[in-house]
Amino acid sequence: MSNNTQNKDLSLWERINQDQALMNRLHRVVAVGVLILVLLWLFFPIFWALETALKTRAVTVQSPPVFWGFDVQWQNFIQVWTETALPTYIFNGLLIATVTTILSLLIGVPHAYAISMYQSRIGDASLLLVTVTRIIPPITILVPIYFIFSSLGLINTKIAIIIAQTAFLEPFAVWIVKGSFDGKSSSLIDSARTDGCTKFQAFYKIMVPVSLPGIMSAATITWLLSWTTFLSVFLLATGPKAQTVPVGVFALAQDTFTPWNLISAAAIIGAIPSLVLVSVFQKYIIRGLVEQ
Amino acid sequence: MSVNLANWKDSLQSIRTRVSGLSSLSFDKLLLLPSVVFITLIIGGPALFLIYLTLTQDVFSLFLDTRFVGFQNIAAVLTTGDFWLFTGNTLLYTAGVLGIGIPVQLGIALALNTDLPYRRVWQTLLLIPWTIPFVISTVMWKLMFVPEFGVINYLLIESGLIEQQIQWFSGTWTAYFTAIITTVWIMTPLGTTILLAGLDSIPDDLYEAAYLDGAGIWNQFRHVTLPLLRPALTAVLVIQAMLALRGFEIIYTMTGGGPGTATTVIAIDIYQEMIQNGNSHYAAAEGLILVVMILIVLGIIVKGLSSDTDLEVE
Repeated sequence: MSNNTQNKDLSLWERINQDQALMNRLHRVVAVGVLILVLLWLFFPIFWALETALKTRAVTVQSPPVFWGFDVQWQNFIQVWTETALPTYIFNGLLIATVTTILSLLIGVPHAYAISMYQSRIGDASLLLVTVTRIIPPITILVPIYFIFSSLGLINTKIAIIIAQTAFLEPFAVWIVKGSFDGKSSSLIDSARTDGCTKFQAFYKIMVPVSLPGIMSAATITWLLSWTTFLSVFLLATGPKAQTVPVGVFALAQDTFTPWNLISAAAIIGAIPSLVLVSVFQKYIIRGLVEQ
Repeated sequence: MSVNLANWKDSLQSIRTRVSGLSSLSFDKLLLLPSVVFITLIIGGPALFLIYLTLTQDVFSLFLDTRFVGFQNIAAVLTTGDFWLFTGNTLLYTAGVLGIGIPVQLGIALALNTDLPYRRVWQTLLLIPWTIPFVISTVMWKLMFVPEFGVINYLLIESGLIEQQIQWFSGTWTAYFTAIITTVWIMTPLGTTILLAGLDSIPDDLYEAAYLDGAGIWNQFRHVTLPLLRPALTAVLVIQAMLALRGFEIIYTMTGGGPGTATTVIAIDIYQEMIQNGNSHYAAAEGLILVVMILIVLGIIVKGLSSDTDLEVE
């Protein structure tokens, strides 16, 4: 590959640089190829669902499948929006995810701050509690929660789902925000204290603002995980009053009488909030995923 | 007089502490309190109730009552043949998801670990499938797997790989395949993103040093990349193993646990026992066993990956 033998006078460093440059160029070609293939693989199902959503019912079941040249039926989206409870599912989902996120941060950020900046036995124990909560599968803990909420008459209420989701997701928030506080020097607190801040002011006036990127990560991840949650809603909600998009789309897809173009339209609409969120907050999501 | 006043102040102070109670807690404990109380109440309370359910059985007399039965429920689960079938299904699914997913994610991350332009753009695009609700992604894949008019059978036949339509949901292995491929598709953004960040944090001069020592690409990978990527790799494995072992909605949406019970995993069985059969004590015991199983698998992964290294694994 390299022409080392002809250039005996080349110094070692130049040779290395030449080799590395060739390697880098090769690597970049491979990278572009892999990236294109991966993006095709990742986006084809979404593209196919979008196409199906725009077909008539008859075209969706044609074999071989029709890739282009069909009559585009935008009214499928209107039909699924007006004839199913999809708007309600979306409203419920947005509300539940937003309240869950606010609650998780409200109690999770102070928690993360306390374990990151102060040493105590309770703090260590609470970290263990957070870890255990993340390891226990939701289905296990939903067995007793289902019974407790049933006896309290909380089944099919948004409150029940918000409580359950906050309990499942707040530990994630604690973990991500803790990672952010861990990177901050406690000398910031000391200087704030000498400037006359109380401990609490040092927390919310100094440390929260400097850790805002981490807190934003926790917020976007918590919101996304809540928005996409299926199991707790599936178990705790029995009707459109408290059901969210994943359960709604599931019910639609389970019903064998629903044509695929309408299922696809519902799936595309249900995916849009995620797409918006990830394009706006991608920086925070990546950061949060890495730190979780 | 002055002594009395001091006493009076002292007692007032102690009354104040006792009344407010909270002020005797230090600042950091106060910050911990809401979160710890909440988790203890919403997770800890049900966890205790779960254990209670596991250790009791319903008694039907005039009123519904329960009695203590010790480990009978756990024994009942462990002696049910189906439970071991579902355990096998869960482990098979997990093995498939990790066995296909991790090499794919590692390969993509290694390939993309170079100074490609527009990183912000393509990293956002790479992330998208993970952010779509799992059920919706599964529905999209199910549409492609429909045997009669699905695009996957069409493409396989067109490319000459198969001669006639595969009935994806009628065979055990093909049903697994649909669920596993969908799960890998969903998890790939997550794994690739974490691994890319891990690769990013490896300093370039380590590769240069290895190169000077005469290490080729394979040896650079073995002795520089792999050891330094171990924390990220462990995280990716642990997260995806956890998600696969507790997996419910992807399989339930894709195959419904079928054909028959061929792809019924433990989480699906717990749901069916609890909701459809109303057998809450059995479901509770099965849930506890699932926790133990998850702990064992995670323990094996963490131990296996952290052996012969002093790297800290989290």
